[in-house]
Amino acid sequence: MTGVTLTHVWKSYQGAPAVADVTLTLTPERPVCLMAPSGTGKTTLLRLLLGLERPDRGEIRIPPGWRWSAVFQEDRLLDHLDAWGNLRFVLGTVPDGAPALLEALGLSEAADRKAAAYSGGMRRRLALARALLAPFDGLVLDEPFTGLDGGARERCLACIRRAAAGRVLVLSSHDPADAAGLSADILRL
Amino acid sequence: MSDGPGGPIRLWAAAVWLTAWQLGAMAFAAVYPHGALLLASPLAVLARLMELLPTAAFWAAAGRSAAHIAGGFLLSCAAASALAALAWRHRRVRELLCPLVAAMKAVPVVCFIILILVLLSSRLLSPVIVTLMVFPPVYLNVLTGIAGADRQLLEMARVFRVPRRRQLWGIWLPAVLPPFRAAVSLAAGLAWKSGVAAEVIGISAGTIGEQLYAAKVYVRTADLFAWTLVIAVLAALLERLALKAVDVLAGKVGAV
Repeated sequence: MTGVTLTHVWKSYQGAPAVADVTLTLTPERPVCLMAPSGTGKTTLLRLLLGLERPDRGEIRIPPGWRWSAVFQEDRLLDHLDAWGNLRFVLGTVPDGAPALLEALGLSEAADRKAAAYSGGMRRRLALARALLAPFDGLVLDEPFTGLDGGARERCLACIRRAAAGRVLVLSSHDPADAAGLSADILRL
Repeated sequence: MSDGPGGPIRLWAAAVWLTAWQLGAMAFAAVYPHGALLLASPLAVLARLMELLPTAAFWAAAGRSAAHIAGGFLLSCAAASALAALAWRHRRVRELLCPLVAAMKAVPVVCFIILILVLLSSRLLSPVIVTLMVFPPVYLNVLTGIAGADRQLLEMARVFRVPRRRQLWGIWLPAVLPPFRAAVSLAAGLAWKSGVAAEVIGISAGTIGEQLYAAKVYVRTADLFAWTLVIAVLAALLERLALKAVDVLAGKVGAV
């Protein structure tokens, strides 16, 4: 698989441009971190990449058979299921690497509890575990460290670096340290 | 004792009303020459029920009515759920069904009963009427549940390419089952009320409705109350069984 390219991409909502003339190439070699104040189109750009929105103008080229995995801005967990159930829902099964990843993310002890009972930080880490365990060619992370303290953030960064090595990675963040932690180029929108 | 919106039915409250009924019936019998016939006492109703219970005719009538009404109820629940799913997917189906559902809600049940008596035999009357009466609440509540399914979860499932079957169990059913349960609870009572009304008007042979009609013609109020008690028990039974089935399904998908 090669990379993903965006060429002069525009997206507006009710006449107001959310994404204005973005040209970008995403390759496995160069992770990209989108940085911009809130409400300036980071999430819209990520949604365009995931195919959840269509550009008004411009072109997004994604290789055929490409598989995205994502941590959304919201956790988007099935609250009535435990960690295993949430993984099974997406993956069809609990992969061999799941217990080790949950351990690395500090979720082992809570894995049998329903997601509804999780704290904000735990929900974020479970959403990340789900994204990292899914098969993917490209990983989209929309403010993945929201609500995480320093230690948890470091653990998450380490897991992302391992799982996303050699694959396309694009994230949005307000913190330059996140970009540095993933050796990502910063793109200011 | 069962819980309702007004709280549980307390034994003491039921006892007060039964006592009032007993005293009223006794007073009625003392004042009027045929008062005991016109207003049977609870004890007379109980005695009549004890007479009816061992007879084959009782079980045949109760069984036939239960089969017709429960059959219409289940058929309607299945059809309403399937059509709600189809209507949500296809706007034209929704538009097509809209006036039909509005008519089912607005037209008095007796109009449907007369129409069906004209078109079909009285044997089919109660299942058809029950199907018509149960359809709107179940259809509308399932549609509401589908519309309320979490869009963000559906997007997540789309990105991760979660198969439709797994989406059904993980996202759609947890969204649909709570309003479906509320509709089932409402519709079970509605099914018995409309079904028995149809049997009475259609004088459907060998049914509870026919027994009620006979009680009216021969002024046998003990029979009337005894069969009414039977209807109440059967209606509660249908509701309990239907809700139990929904709860088992909800437990499996975690929608509880």
